[in-house]
Amino acid sequence: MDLLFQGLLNVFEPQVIILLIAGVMVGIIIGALPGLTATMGVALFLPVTFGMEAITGILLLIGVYFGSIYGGSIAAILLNTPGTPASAATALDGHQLTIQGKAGKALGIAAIASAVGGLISIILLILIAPQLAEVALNFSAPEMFGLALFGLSIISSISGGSVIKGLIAGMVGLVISTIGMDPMTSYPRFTFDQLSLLNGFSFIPVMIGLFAVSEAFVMMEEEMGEGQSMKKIVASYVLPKWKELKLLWVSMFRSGFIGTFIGIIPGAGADIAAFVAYNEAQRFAKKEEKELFGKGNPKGVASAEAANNGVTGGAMVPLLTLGIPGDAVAAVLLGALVVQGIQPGPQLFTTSADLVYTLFAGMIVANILMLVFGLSGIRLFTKILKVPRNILAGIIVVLSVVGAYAIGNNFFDVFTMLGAGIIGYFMKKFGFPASPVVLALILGPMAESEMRRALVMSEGSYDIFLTRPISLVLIVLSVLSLLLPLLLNKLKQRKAVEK
Amino acid sequence: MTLANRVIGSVLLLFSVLVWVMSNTFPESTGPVPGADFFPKLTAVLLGALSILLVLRKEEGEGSVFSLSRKKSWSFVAGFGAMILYVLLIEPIGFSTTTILFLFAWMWLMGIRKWVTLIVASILISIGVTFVFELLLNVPIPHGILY
Repeated sequence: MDLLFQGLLNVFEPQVIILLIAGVMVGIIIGALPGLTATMGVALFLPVTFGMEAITGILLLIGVYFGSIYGGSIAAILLNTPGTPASAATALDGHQLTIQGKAGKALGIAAIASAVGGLISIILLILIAPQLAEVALNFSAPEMFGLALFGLSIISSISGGSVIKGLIAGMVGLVISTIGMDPMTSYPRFTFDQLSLLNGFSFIPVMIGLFAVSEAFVMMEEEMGEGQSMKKIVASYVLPKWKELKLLWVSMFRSGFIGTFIGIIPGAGADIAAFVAYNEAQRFAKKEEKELFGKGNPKGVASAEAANNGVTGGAMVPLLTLGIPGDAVAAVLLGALVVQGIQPGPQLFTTSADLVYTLFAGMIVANILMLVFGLSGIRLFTKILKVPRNILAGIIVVLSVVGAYAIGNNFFDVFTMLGAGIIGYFMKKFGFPASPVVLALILGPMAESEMRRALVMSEGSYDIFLTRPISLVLIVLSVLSLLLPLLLNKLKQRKAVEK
Repeated sequence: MTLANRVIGSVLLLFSVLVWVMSNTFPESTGPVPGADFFPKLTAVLLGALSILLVLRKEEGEGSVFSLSRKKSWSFVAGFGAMILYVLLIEPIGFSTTTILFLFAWMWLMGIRKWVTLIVASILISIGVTFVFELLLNVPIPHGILY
């Protein structure tokens, strides 16, 4: 508790709080713009933090992350085009409310539910993370290999449409991750005598390319296609009343918990959490109320938003305690931490407890800021939706270039970013997801070196992975999570055939 | 989509064979512990197997992946070219100048035809980005002969 209080004091240093406010605002704007996701926002702003102190930089990114998850609901409610995949569930009821002339109510509920969900998840994070870190302190090479393997196995569940395409994307990422010096023997692999390849591709330019530049190309394509006219936004700005909110607290709390626990599971992100919570809200609803879902039920908005913001704190649990990113945004944040010289993992909680608790405190403040801006800035945010995309696409490219260059002041990274952007565009077109590549780039080297280190420990015997209980459990979990989506698909097909 | 998958799968299969062949030149491990060639070979085998699965599988989907008409797709290719040229020219010429030209080109390609908008927006954004990153945030920006 003392640590948390001290953290709070750190957050209120003028420089830190100003950047946190800026981060949340920018995040809301990015989230609100259709086509710009939370991952892209954090990836684009990552280079901005290079010149800052570690804690300030990370909190800025956390502000962007939290803000953009909430911001996604604005476009979802007003335009029925979710700004981020996470708010697709919000659009179901949110846009119906807009049609009924209650946009202000929907936006207000979204802001409050987001903050409630976010705060619940951070409280749970503060309670769970130190305990988990303590357990993980005893991990050595075989367990770390198990963790890396588990992280990689979730690729099959984040693949979206096609599991095989997700696995292929991940496998290509693993091959790319072997470029550079071998972690054990320092033998240069696939470097073609190029000095810049000795340390392999750094994953930040790859990430900027895959998540930001490819999206700019997609925007360009859409802009050149059939001229879509901007939808007119007709909205009233009346906020929800206290009496109306009273009916929603239960849904918000339940969804916040659901979101947090889904967030902790690597591979399941905000979009899944929102839909699960939405379904649960529907299941728990009274009979006569059930039919209102999808027709503008405030509970639909509240549960979806509380859940997708609940994921934010949940996703931090494996990231901070184990150094395993559960989804693409967490992967970018991991990159940010490493660039600042912070290696997330169980040691973090003993060696830099002050930093960890400042992060926790910052997350709480970020959620409160989000609530304040969300309720006061509704009119302003509706204006953002009118930013023309034919200007926006170019700006994304320019920021990507600055970002890629800033990492190491060299053009090799910029070319990497460009290549990743072009490849990422075609991956999108042919249905290959981008997140597995990034996860593989981060976890591949970890899996390889921990595996070989474990084998050194056991003098070459593979039994070491199966005789140590924790690594055995992790390996079994990996196999299960790898196969689960495939089994579910088969089940679905069989059911469809029976019908 | 099936045809596209087959082409992509075949290319990836070739790629994984190439990775395997190249890994063969890596020094073998001397002890019982796997050496530098182990992990690349493992991933190459898995990638190869997955590529074969992709080639064999049928996938139904919309006919064409690309939505643009033939005429429009040329401006899309031009947009790609503009971006590549942009990245190539930053080093010799400098970020701020090339950014103005690039933004101008992209906005024009995406249908903005008002000269005032084109010129003012591209110059303002370029100056704005340079100012914010270099002066406010201390993030270095590449300079060439023309700033």
